[in-house]
Formats: sequence, structure tokens, C-alpha cells
Amino acid sequence: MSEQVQPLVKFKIIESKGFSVHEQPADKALMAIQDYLQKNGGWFYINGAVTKIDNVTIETLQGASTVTITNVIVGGHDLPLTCCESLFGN
Amino acid sequence: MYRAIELDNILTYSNIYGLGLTEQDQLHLKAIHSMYTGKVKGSYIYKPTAHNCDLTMVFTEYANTGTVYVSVTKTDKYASQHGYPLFCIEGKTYFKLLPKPEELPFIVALLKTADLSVQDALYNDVGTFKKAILDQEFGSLRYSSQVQEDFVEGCFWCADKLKDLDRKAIALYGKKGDYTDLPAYMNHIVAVLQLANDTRFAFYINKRIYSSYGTNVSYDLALGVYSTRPGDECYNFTDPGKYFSHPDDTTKRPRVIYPDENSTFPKDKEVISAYRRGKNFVTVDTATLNLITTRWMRKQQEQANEKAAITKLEKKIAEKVTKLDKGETFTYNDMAFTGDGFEYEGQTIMDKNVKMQEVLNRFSGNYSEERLNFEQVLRVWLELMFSKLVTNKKTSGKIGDVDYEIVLNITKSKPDANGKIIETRSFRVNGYRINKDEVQQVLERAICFPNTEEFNAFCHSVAGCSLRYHKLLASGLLVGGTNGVHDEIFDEQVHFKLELERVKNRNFLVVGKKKWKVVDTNRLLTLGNAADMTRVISILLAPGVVGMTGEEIKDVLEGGKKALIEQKQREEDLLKTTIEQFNIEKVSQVTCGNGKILSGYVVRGHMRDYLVEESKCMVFEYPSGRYICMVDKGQNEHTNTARLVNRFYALSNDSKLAKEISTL
Repeated sequence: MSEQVQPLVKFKIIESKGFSVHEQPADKALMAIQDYLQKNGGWFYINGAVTKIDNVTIETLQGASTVTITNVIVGGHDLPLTCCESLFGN
Repeated sequence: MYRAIELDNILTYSNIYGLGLTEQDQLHLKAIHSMYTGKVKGSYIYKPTAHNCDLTMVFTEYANTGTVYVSVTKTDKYASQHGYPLFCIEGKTYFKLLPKPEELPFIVALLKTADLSVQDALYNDVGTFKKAILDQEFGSLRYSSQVQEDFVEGCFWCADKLKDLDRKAIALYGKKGDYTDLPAYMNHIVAVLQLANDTRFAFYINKRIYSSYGTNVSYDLALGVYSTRPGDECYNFTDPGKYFSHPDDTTKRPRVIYPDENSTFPKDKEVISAYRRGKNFVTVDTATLNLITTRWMRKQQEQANEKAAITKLEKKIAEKVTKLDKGETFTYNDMAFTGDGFEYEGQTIMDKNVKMQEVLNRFSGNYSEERLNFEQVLRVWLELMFSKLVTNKKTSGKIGDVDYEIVLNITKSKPDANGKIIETRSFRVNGYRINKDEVQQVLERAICFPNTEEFNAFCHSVAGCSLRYHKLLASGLLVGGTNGVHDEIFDEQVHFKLELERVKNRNFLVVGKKKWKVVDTNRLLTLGNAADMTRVISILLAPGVVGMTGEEIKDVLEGGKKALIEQKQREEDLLKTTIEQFNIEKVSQVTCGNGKILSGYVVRGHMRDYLVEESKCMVFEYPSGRYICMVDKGQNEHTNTARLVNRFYALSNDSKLAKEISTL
């Protein structure tokens, strides 16, 4: 399928400065998502359900209603959030 | 003083009085009419031959208007005193102003009902007359002017029925004995007047207590009145003998009616107030009254017992606190206290300069669970630790799994030309320099790190770019704060945000694709408190801060305004679509199983339901209220919307992410 006729896939990345919305042809979107997750980590959701990126194809992206990447959340020490605002990682 | 009427209405005037003019009267009036048609000036004194009142009409033409004034006159002492005619009724009652024709029969009826004095009485107008007569009958009324007007009008228009009113029921003398046991908040309807239009006027007695000493209560009986129309909730219950309470402040209409006449009323008004809370009108029969009174008394007893238990516990805790320095320990609200520190959820917190007795003494007088909890104790501990650090210049301790050492270095400059020496203070946490204002915040976060190495990495990051800068880098600088800045030229408040970026330890101001290097970040950040546009422009123009041109500043303003609006809209859209996607419900002030009252978003997971609180994105199990600690990983200071949405996604997939979010 040529690039011109490939439908665009819209995906959101919710990250440190807020969030961004991207729209690319499906094959480029898949590559961009794979690159992002490899570089930054995060969780990937198709239609709100967490999904392993390895199982995702171009067709999956084209058929999805929502495609989202979020950052990872970890559990604290069962202590009040006043002390657990944010974790500075690498 | 005079009633002006049209010339043509002379005959009508006589008729609407219902005076029953004779043929002779009619002839006389026709003569008057023809006289004025010829526009002859003059007056005519006319005394109707058959009527109920002494009425003498004087017709006086008012030049060139065609209007004839009619005045009344009677040759008597009042007229001669005042020099103008008066209207007289029943030979004793005089009015300076003519009553309306339809009022006449009621004036006569009221005069017959009222206990008239034998002396003549003069009134300005009928309104004054109504009030005076009714005051005489029922005593002075002390209500809002509206209630008083209604009462006076109501009694006037049923003046013919007033003589049938049970006067004994509403007499204010000799009735005190019957009301000794009636609580002061209760009112007793003793008589009801119903008008032709079905309006009911209810006369009621209540107690006005003016002194109370032990069981001796001195009171007066006062008379009140309210009016009610068909359709009002209290209308059908407005009958003599009924009791009511909680009247509306303005209309005095009842909001609680007791339909059973032999009910025993509770002494405390709050029993009924609690029952009717949130309802506009209720009826309380005897069975309901007994039930709510019993429940109330039980609740009062429970509260008294609980209060006694709390007082006893707090006294016990106070004793234990005093023994901490002697090596004793105790546990309260899941915290284990020793003389040197305290432990919570397996995490020990201690500092070599801080004694727990001193920390807990700051809670003296209030050791309740709400106050003496981990967050509050930690907050006070950190404040005390910092103040001791400033004095001792060095401290060390342990927070959870993190060991720390803090050193305060004070350096003094060489004396300047005036001999002035500048003292500089710097704080180092585990060797990393941290801003004085952020030392406590940094230590507070130590509890989230699993070991000292990771905490040190965090300190290193903060030393390079303070917590405050991190937040600004993430969320931008809101110029003027939430109030914006005042534009002096257009006299309006302007709201805009400046985006900042940090590259290789240099800060840049970013608008769209353009960047400006920030020379003096501290001065730029003062824009957060700027009040007016002049200040904003001077900071942005200054080469020592940013060094923009006027055109560039204009672009920054436009871009900043647009960015703020767009950001807000995007965040709202993101939140809205996420809420719709996961069918999230927003709740407010819900009481959880553990007594916590929470507001936020309810997220349905596979393992359980959660409530995500909006302001700090705290997560609780729902509906139990158990707190679940969750932390965003990565170098970040998220916007609140991003943090909320992240949690919505994660919690909706809790079963698949439980391994990574250990607290789930």
C-alpha cells in the first residue's frame, strides 16, 4: 500500500511535560511508538487495554479507536503521598 | 386632602358609595353638573338625604382642567381646628383623607367590633385606622412589616367576622399556667380566621422567655399570626389546637406541624431540627416524635461516651509522651514512638538532634487520631529537625531506608568598602548542595527511595536543577500567577504562560519554534509575581535577563496567551475523553468504610474499584478508603491532568499491571 493511501493513525503520548497527540501513517506510527518505548519505556494501550508492543501490527493500529502511551507508575511503600510526590530516575 | 374626580363622574361617585340617593338628590346633582358644564367657578355644598355616613360634598372647580374636586365637610370641632373638611363616620371617627368607597362597610364593621372609646378619634387615613383599631384589639404586633401588613389587611377584610373570634383563646392574661411545660420553640394555634377567598389567618401563642435560672423560667405569652393560602403545604393543617415549630423567618408559616394534639414535645429543638434537615415542610405525629426522640437520646449518649473515651485516651497518651525520655516506648495510630524517633509501616525515622518528646509536645492538647497521624508527625519532625540543624549546623539520621547527613556551611565575605560583611549559608544533603527552601521537601521524599544510592541520585538531580525549576520546566511560568497581570493601557487582566526549556544546564524561553537564552533565571522567575504589564515588559527587555525586542515581546504575549488557552482546552479534552473511555464517575464528599471523606474519580479496575483524588492524585481503594501509594516513575514533574489520566489507564488495567505496581 503506498504511503499516500495509508490511513493516518492518531496516538497520544502522556509524558513529563503533559501530553502530545501525533498523527502519522500507520507504518510510521508503529515505528515511532516502538522507538519511543524502547528509548523511554512506558506502558502502551490499545483501546484502553494495556498491550505488549511486540504483539502489535499495522492492522492493529489501524483498527484501534484509541492508541496511548503513558509513563510507568510504581508502588510506593504504603506511605502517605505527602512523601511520595515523584521519583527522580535516570 | 381632596379626591379629584372627573366632572362626568359626579353622579358615579355618589352611586358607588352605595348611598342610595333619592330623586331629590339626583336633581341636585344634575344641577351641579350643568353648572360646571358652563365652567362657572364656585362651590356647592350638598348633603345627601339618605346615607349611612355624614357626608357633605363640596364641589370646587379647578381652573381650566375640567376636574372637579370633591371635599367633605362637617361643621364640628375637628373641622374648625384643621380648617379643612373631614370625613366622618358613625359620628365619632374622622378621617383626613377620604376612604375608598368599598372600604366603608368594613370600617363600620370594625368600629362595631372594636371596643371603642367614647372620645372622638381622628385618623389620617384608613390605613392608620386599621392598624390602630387592631392594635387596640390584639396588642402591639412585632413582626416584619410584611407580616404586619398582611395581618392588618386580613383582619380588616374579615372585620365582620372578628366579633365571632374566640377572644378568650387569644387573651394574653391569665393563661401562663397552661403553657408552663410547652418548650419555647413550640407555637400553639388558638384561632383561625378564614376569608372569603379561603385565605386563613392563624393566631398562635408562643412563649417569650426573658429570664432563666435553673428550673425557674420567666416568660411572657406572645401572640403571633401567619397567613396561608390554598396550595401552601401548611394550609390544610392550619386549624385551632394544632402545634407547630420552625416557622419561616419572613412569612412565619410553619415548617413542622404536629397533627396529634396530645404529643409530648422534646425539650431540645435540635431533635426536630435534625429530623427535618433538608426538608422544607414535615408533619410529625406522636409515633414519629417518640421514635426520633429515642434515637436522639441514644445518639447523645453515644457521643458523650465517645468523648469520654477520647479524653481518657488522650490523657493516657499525654502520660506516655512524658515518659519517652526515660526510655519508655508506645504505639499509637500505627506509629511506634521511642525517645529518639518513630517507626511507621516498617520505616524508621530518626535524627540525632531530634527528641520525639519534643515533637509530640507540639501536639499537646490534641492527640486525636485525625491530628496525631503519620503525615502530621512527619511534618512537625521535619520542621524541628531543620530548626535544630540551623542551630547545630550539622545533623545526620535515617529516613526509611535512606541514611542522610546534612551540613550547613556558613561563609563570610571579606569586608567591603563600608566594612560590611556578607554571610552566605549553604546546605549540603549527602554532599549535594540543596536550596535552603527545598531541604525539607527533599528529605520528605527520602522515604520513597529504597536505598541511599537512589536518594543520592535524586539529590544530585535537584542540586543541578532545583525542585522549583523542575516544576517550572514541566508546567511553564504563569506570569502574574493565577490572577494574571494588569495591562495598564487596555485596563484589563491578561493571562499568559511562558514555556521554559533547559538544555545543557542553560535555561531558554520558548515560544513556538523560537528560543531566547535566559541570562538571569531568578529575575525572570519574578514574573510569577508580576502585577502589571510594565514590569513584564521591563524584565523581558532587560539584556541582563532575556534581552528581547518590543516586537518579540509582542509575539511572546500573543503566543503565551494562545498557549495557555490551548493547553487548558487540550487538558480538558484529554480528561473528558479518558473519563468517557473508562466510564469513570466523579464523586464528591463520599464517606468511605474507614471514615475518610473523599472527593474524586471512581475508576473500576478488574481487581477492585479505586478513587483517585483530584488535587494530589492520591489513590484509595473504594469504597474502603484504604490508601494505595503510587508514584510516577521517571524524571518528571507532571501536570496534574497527565498524572490523573495515567492513573486512570493504569488502574483500569490493574490486574495486568499489579506486578509492576506492587502496592496494588
